[in-house]
Amino acid sequence: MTGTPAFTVEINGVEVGFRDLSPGQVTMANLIIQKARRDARKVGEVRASVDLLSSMLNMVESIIIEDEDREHVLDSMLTGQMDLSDIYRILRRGQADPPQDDEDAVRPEKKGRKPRAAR
Amino acid sequence: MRSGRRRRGASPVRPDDTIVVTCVRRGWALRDCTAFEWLMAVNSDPERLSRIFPGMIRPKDVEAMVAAMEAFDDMDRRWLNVARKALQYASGRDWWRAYNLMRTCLDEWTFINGVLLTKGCDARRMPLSSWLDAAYVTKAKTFDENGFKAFEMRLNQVPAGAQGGGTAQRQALMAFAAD
Repeated sequence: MTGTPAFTVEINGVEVGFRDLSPGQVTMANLIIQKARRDARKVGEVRASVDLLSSMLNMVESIIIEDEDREHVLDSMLTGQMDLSDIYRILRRGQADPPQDDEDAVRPEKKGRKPRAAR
Repeated sequence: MRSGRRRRGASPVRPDDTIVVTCVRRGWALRDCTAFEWLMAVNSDPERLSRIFPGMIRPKDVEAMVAAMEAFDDMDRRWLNVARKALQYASGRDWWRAYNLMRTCLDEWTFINGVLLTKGCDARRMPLSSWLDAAYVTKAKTFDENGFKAFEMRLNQVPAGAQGGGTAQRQALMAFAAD
């Protein structure tokens, strides 16, 4: 593992760490996923593209996924529990919502009944 | 297939407008992009221009770029330099002038795009250089003499941390001071 993950995401019950990405790396990861999808469409069958997805995932991994999480993500993909759209969604989420140091500071106040002690 | 018919989804920009840039000692042909795509690329990452490069490389070159990322440690710096060069080639002017003009157009998109559309200049169908020429004239017509000089000075301003505009900036300042 290289350094501390920039953010973690729970995938099938396991926290997967992602590296801190520069804008260029995020762009590259998106290009890889677009290419994987295009190539997968060309192949036609989902199962026939497993090798292709694996090789594409290797490229994605080389950019975004911490070493110790690779096996888990690859297994999830090959067993159909996770696909490229999940990675794409994760990338977008990582880009849009960086981890907050102080979660309470940004959490909106809940409406409704106050706790018993406050009443 | 009938000849002369454009592929569905293909860029209206002509193939001979293809831009080739050099990065990590090899040439990279960029996708044929319209002015609108260039503008959106600048708008989405104005600091690093990553949607221009590597964002505009062709799908078949993605694996080669991934290999380059593993071989070189300073890819972010290289990407930014190449993105600026690509912008220069595509716009047909100094990259910082193109960048500043594009930022101005993006800030005033409704006005400039609206005026240009009424004159038949559609950013979604034109190459960047031609569209920027039209945008420049449209914008310049809105100024008096002093306003135009200030506009020119803004266009010649090199973004902080970048190089390349010394001569142009000096010329603009001298022209302004001489007046």
